[in-house]
Amino acid sequence: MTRPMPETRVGMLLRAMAAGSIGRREFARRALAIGASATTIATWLAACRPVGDGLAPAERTARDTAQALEPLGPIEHRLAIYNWSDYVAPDTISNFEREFGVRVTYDVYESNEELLAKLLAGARGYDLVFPSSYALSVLVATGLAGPLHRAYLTNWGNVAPLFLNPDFDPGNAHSVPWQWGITGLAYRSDKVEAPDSWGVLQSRRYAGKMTQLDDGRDVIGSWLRYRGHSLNSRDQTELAAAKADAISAKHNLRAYLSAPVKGQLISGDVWIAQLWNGDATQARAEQPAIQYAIPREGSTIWADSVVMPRSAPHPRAAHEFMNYILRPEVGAAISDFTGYGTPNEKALARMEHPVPYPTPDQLRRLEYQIDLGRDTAEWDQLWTEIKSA
Amino acid sequence: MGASGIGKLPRWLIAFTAVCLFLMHLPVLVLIAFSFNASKFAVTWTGFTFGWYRRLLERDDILHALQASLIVGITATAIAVTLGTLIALALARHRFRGRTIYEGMMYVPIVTPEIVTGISLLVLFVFLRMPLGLSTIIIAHVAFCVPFVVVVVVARLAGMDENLEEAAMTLGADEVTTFFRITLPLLWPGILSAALLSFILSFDDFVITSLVAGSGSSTLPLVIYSMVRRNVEPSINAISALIVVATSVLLYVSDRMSRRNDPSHA
Repeated sequence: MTRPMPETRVGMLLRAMAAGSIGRREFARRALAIGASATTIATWLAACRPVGDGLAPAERTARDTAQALEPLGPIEHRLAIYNWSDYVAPDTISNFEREFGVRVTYDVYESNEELLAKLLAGARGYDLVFPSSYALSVLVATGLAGPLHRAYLTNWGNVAPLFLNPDFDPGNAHSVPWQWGITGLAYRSDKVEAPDSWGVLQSRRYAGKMTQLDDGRDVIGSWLRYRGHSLNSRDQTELAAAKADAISAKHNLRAYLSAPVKGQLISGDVWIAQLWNGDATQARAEQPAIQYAIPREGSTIWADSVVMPRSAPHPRAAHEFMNYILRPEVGAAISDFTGYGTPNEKALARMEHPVPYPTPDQLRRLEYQIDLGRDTAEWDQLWTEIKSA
Repeated sequence: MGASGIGKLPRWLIAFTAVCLFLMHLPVLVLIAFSFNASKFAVTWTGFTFGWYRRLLERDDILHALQASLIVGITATAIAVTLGTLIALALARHRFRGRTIYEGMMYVPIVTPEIVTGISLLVLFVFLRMPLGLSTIIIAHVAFCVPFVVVVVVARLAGMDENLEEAAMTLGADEVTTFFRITLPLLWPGILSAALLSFILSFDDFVITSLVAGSGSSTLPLVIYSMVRRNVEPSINAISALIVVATSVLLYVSDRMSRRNDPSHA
């Protein structure tokens, strides 16, 4: 008689992993672990140890203004970029390396929270990072964002005024605008009429053929706008109403789905999807009937920026890179590849698929997401309740 | 009793097993099938192509990440298996003060949520002023692989006949000779399983790695997650298909090897 060998059980485990069955459960668990808790990690870390320089905002501004005028040394031979995957054109990096004689390492992160968690914990070694607006405001507030030495950015004039001096980084003291976009409704013009309100998601008419993004900020934000409130609201009554609206729409939704919804729009399984305009543009390349609308109640405009952390080991190379991406042809190539908008006015004219700037009328209805600070936990709770309703 | 045994499985059981296996492997089959799909979006089939495999060769980021993952996986496995086997031997063959506590503590990392381990390691490395990079990833991977190695090797040791070692020593072999001539060969299948397990744990770890990785050390899971967030390009399917094939070959080979070495299967 042989006892069941422990190896057999391990073997089964291994086979299951190789086959993907455990991998997927793990996938879900890990996604949950990151998605559900990472937003709070940053706050948690910030509470654990004093982050940043401990200066008052006014003192920091004074110091940064002085530092921004100091000359940088000669260009270093290396540059460490920390960015999202596929967020530069295929030849952006290699052309820069050749022209400037700098060796670039390109590392990737998966969410703003991951970036924040690392920088707030004190990780060093990165020269350039690419946070979204609300993450940038955290970096500025903690003093982790280094000052911009404008003297080295000779192409600064190419940036459209629309993207200058944002609320999340007054006077662009720390950031160069990188890519921007709008969250709205992508729809199949061959199946449905153009939706002009978030309310379409609550009508039974297209039940089972609609999706919203798998992101609490976007879903709750859309229902806040629906009732005419700010999508950064912290008001209890407004949030409660948004929750009720979100749940009533949820019964008509096929799923909460982010980037992968493009495939379902193309195949016709989904007719109306809350989506980013860049992704809608990408999907239209395969299915011309896909159109894009900004609901009349308004929606989110987002912008990612380039920031040099204060601890950057290669500041001169970082500035040369920022100046390089501000060139019209480089900026155009990047945005043509990503499918998002370029804040570079001169680049816009050179793009193959330009994403037009919002009209003044549209702009009035668009709002940036800002960091919710302590209320983040409450929003997380609300989102969990909506998803489990 | 004996006649009802092996080889005469009821048909429904075979059918049931087949359905289960099919459902288990279906996602992987779909994934592999779509790695040959011409469309950029993995939902509609628009034609057959090898293009995504060719594209892989142009994607330096994926190839670099694969290289980083292999370096980390192999190094971490080698260290974890060595340490883990020694710990397992100490736990299974010796009685010492605090052994129970030591054994209990071995299992704590297995049940600790990864995000907690990751954050603690990150804070520790920053506190020690260690630059984040491949070395910190390897240390982190060794830390979470060792307990798994210990569990597997201890289980193997429990099934091993201690009399064989005693017999060898009675016949004049010293401890070192006994270890290399008797214990290690008998332990080998367990060590191999442990090595495979820790390599796979290391190869697909995301949460801990994402927190302790530094400049120039993105592993494959980090790159894939980041790509999924933006756009799932079918070259991901292609690299996944290659990994599935490579893992299957590895498992098959190791299975053959452990069968040959394992007397209970002879």
